[in-house]
Amino acid sequence: MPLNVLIVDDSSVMRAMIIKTIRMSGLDLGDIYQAGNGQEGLDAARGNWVDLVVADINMPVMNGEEMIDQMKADPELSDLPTIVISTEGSATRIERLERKGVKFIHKPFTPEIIRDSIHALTGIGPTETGESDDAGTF
Amino acid sequence: MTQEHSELLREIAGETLEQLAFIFSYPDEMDPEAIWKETTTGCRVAFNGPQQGELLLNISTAALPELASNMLGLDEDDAPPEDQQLDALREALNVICGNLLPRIGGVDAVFDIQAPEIIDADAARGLVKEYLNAPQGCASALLSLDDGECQLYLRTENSG
Repeated sequence: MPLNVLIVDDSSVMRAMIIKTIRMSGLDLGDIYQAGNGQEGLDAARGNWVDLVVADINMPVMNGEEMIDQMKADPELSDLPTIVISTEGSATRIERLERKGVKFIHKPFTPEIIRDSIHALTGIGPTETGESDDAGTF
Repeated sequence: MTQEHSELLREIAGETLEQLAFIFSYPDEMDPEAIWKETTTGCRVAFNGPQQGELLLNISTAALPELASNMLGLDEDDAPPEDQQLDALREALNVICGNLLPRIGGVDAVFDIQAPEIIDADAARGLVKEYLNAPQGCASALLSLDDGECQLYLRTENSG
């Protein structure tokens, strides 16, 4: 079943990099939605069928952690698998995020880390026709 | 401490440019003032936490198309528009800063990193002068790239 993914990051370049990396991971992708901050991310998650959220933390308007808290408080979104891709380096903050059930990936990242994290969260792995995942770090 | 931070800055900036954008850098032996003879773009990011301060990146504008195209996985001749080049620069500085701070403050330290801001060459030059003249000094890293140069300056002070 194709995976519908929502990417939430205030950098359009980083969103494009994440999309490219997920495509390179060989996963069977469906629709990809994009949002520039947590509020837009919540709106997109509520207005579309989304199977996976990939979000940054430091964003204007509403940061990623607040977006995750609001998702957890919403019965329709509380079980939505979520990956945080961030430059955050504080073990304290990372542990706090992980306690909320999200998977944390540090920037820069590799396609393998994205693929493995998605697999760990959703149980979905690469398709046999997927692209090569040996493509360096992003 | 400044020397130690300068070495860290050089290491992390070099690794980030390589991993994020496949750009290889080398320690720059040139006169730091020489960069001002070319067209440059600046970017600054402020942070707060156990230490507060600012990281400034000043880069040859000629290096921006490659930075952005490589981050986006585009062909070499397919330069992205200027807004994406500047977005790529902000993101690169964000990643450098995010990787640098735990190395300086420790992994348990909690820092808040502000949104990186693009500044023009005059403003960047003024900030570099200000940083270098600060009583506590500043750490710096001068890197040579294929398409120019990249300079980073880190100013920190203890909070509270």
